[in-house]
Amino acid sequence: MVHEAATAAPPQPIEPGPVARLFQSSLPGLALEIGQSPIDEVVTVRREDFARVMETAKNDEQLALDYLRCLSGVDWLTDLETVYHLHSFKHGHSIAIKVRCPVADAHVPSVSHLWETANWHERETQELFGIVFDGHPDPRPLLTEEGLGYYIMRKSHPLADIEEWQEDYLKTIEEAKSQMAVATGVAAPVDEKALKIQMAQQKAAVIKKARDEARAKGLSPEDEKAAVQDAIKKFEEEHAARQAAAPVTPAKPVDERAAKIQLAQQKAALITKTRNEARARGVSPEEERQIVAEALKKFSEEQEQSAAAPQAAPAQAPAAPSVPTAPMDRAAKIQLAQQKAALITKAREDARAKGLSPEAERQAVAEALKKFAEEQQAG
Amino acid sequence: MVIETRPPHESDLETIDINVNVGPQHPATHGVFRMVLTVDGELVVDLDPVIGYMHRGNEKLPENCDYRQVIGYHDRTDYLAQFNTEHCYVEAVEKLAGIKPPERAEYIRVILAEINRIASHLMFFGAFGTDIGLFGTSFMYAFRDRETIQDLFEEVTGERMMYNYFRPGGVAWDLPDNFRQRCMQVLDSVERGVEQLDGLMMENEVVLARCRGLSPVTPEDAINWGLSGPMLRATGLAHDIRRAEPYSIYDRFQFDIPTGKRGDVYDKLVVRLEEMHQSARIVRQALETMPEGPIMAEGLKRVLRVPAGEVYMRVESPRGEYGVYLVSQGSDKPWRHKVRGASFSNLSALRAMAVGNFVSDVIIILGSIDIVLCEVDR
Amino acid sequence: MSLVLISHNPWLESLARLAIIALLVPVTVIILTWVERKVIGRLQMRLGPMRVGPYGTLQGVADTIKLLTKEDVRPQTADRWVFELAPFVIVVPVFMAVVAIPFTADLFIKNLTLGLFYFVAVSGLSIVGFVMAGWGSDNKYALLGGVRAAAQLISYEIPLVMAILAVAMLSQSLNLAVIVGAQEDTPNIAYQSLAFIIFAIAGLAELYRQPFDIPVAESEVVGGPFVEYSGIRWSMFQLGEFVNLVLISILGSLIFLGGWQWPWSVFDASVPVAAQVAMMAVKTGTFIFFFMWMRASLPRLRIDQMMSFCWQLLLPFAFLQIIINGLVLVYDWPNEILIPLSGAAAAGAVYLTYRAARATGVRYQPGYQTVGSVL
Repeated sequence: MVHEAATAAPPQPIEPGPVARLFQSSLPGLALEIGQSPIDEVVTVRREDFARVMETAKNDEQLALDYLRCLSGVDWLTDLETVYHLHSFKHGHSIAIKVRCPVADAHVPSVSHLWETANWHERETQELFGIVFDGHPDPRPLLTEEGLGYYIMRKSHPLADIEEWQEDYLKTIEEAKSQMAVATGVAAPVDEKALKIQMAQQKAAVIKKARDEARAKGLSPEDEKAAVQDAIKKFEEEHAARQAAAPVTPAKPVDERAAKIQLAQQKAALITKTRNEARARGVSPEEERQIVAEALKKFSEEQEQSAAAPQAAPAQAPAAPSVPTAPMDRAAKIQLAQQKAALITKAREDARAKGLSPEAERQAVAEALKKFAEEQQAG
Repeated sequence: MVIETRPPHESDLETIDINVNVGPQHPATHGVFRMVLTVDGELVVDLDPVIGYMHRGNEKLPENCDYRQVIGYHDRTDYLAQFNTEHCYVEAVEKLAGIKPPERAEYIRVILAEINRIASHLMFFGAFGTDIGLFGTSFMYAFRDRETIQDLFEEVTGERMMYNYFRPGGVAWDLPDNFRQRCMQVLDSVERGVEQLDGLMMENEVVLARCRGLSPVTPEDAINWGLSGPMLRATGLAHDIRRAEPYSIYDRFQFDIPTGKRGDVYDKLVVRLEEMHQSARIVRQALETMPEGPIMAEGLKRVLRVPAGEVYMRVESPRGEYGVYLVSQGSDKPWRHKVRGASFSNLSALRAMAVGNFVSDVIIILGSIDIVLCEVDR
Repeated sequence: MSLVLISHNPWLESLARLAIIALLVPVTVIILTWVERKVIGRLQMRLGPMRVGPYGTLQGVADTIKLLTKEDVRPQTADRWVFELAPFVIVVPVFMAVVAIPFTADLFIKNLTLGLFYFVAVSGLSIVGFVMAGWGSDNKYALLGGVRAAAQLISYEIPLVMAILAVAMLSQSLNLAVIVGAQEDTPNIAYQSLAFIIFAIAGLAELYRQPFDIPVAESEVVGGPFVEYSGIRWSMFQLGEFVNLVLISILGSLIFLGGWQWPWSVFDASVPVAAQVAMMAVKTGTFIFFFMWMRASLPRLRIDQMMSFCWQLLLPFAFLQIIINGLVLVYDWPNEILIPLSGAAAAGAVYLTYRAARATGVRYQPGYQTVGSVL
């Protein structure tokens, strides 16, 4: 038989069941709200009485609720509720005890000293709902990662549209951080990535200017290269001077993991830099490896020194690279290759238009390339 | 509660304890589970379990699902005992909504759930043999029988694993016509297979030497740690939810509750082995008395609206007490759907049970808990 | 060497025999991998390899090709030379031991007067390789496995050597051909049943197979000292393991089961080489099958159980066997008296082991709470 969905019947006072009556007799004057469920009795206690009620539940002879079956959190939008389902092996009765707390003040005393199994249940409820269990010996998150920052099981955490929500969430975090920085007067944590992008853009502008100047002056490709490199060196020296004058501290890493990541990034940057330098100089692979290893050793020594002598601010200005050769070479190489490719296509088309045989076509292309190389050499 | 560890040996050698990471990928962790062991030689001094690799939001997602759509989530929570988990959820909804399923549906549910219990315990023996070093022999023996059971389930539901067969109010469709013969066939061959498995493992001298007396658990500790199922019964406490808080039609069948004495690993093996025999007994009784008739309650609407209320429904799954705490606000979607996985509570006791043993034994203790990580992490 | 294979020049002859052995041994190993998978498969109610070649006979070849073409990965933080030399240290002594083994009366590389001693000494060298592999891999699992391997192999070396020593005492020689020759009428197993049992068990432990495979426990240390190896180096370990298997089996057949001579020698005929080879193959095959059967049936022992079994059970019984032998030799009793003495000691050992393993008796009965139905 199916009951129709119950229309809101006038709430009749529900009689407390046997277990609830035992509670009332053990703790006289206890304010209990009796609820209803098809299988168990349900009582809601106030948060102030909660610790007392739980101790009585475990230790009282007649209650002897020694088995905690289930610990759930429920989000009622304005309140957070924790539900404890208890069972007694001695007497065979069960009961569900609920306690509510407002969302703004979500604290509930922990019961893991009474029932060992509550340990993991409380950890899970804590990380999923945000209810803090006071007195829990090990409140690490259990199922989700550390530092998640939001509570998954709350109704305020959406089920759909999760990606847009996450972007908004991260943006609010950033704003909150900068606001807090402004409010407390500390220099806002610098966005490393934005800084780097800015510097790269400036450098590109400098390179372009120097190249245009050199072309305007009609220099040979080598002179042009040399002029551009001079310009870059000057730019970087200026930049270093500016950094030294007003040291922009890189964002202090918040925790160990971020610090490690930063260190690894620095190391990686150092490795690429030394490797490019070595390659530009044209050393053999073994020497290159040696050079990189030496650079790494020096870096770790520096790190140790700076860690041994703690400074107020980690004054690690972005190190000015000494001989920037790679990017310039690569761009020039690409340009050269493009020129060659254009030349080859032109020569091939010419030969085909003239109707030469494949052999003759190949020869013509080779001659054109040779001429181009000679021009490059000479001009 | 104090965890007894052996004191470090006094000697002139300066030793350190190393951290061995029995990592998420390991042949013995029964899924994606990580233990960080602190090991003094071969002795495990501390153990830190790390879970959450399989957390998929099985409690959050049903808040957006129709009551019938949630059944699939329970299939995937404990994927070795799906009929038991579906049974739990479906009973919870029925209790809240006041639906009474017809007789035939109840019989079908009990039969399938009990055969699923046999299949789950077979899987346990297979995996446990591999943990203890049998080079796959127990695995092959167990899976020969489990395959016959899965073939039977495929005939009934069309699926080998994620059955999605129970519905609030009954079952999805009726059993095939030859189900009774097929079921008796399967039971006979499975019981023969269980006898063989019994002979291979339970009187095996090495199994006895490894498992006897390993990590004994007292009933008080078991209750405190929240253990349930065969873990609890191995300590000597004859608590079975099918008997203590009967649900469905379990109070019509005669079966025994096997218990152990010391709660060590060997007792757990014995309890699970005997439970397989008892499950077969229940199924035979049910097959004899199963009536014909409808398999779905009358008058259920297409979209099920459950009146406001709450219920904590629990069943005896092969791993222990599997519970569903369902809170409804009167709509067609649950307001709160909490799954109490048996393996979650059982696994939380691992540290207390395993510290102070050798590394090899910790693997065996973990295997004897018979965890399913999807139930732990949901 | 009475049988001349290539030439009368002893050097050329030896080189030729070495080359033949060096070719035959890997082939044997390839065949053995197929045999093992088939045997274990049948014991597990399944077929084993069936697809690669007729009845899967080419499976060994396929596995070898796969292993040889795999990338040789070396962890960056591994101790380089220790890591890379470990497979050699395990495999080379095993091949060195093959040199001293006579396969039949005439088929051998060199019949050493101290053949038995040489065999024992050389096969003990492999143990260093395990420790090298365990340490050099820079992996905690490898370290655990390497330490376990060292403990196990060193411990079980002693009962093994004692059992072999007992046979040597009886045959008054360390020359393997002479030992086989001394078994014309009865194989040594009749006289030295206890030593045979100890040899079989200690040999199983030396091969780190179930139930003694704690160093390479699959479900705990996932390969033990070999966990970081791949490709050719891994295949060298497998090669070493299987050649060791063959060696222990051949040794057992030679010194306990009568080698190529018994029971042909009972009929007092001069047997052709083929018959000798066949008899050796049958006896070696029995040993190999026994080892594979144990692998499929028994779980592994824990390390402390294994060590206590070796030092508290096997070793005293090995000493017992030697004492019995010594008494017989000193007082010049006829060898036949060894049959009941040794047999009694063997029966005692088996009984004590059985009792120790059974712990508290027969199959444990669970408690039952029979609750009737409500109907």
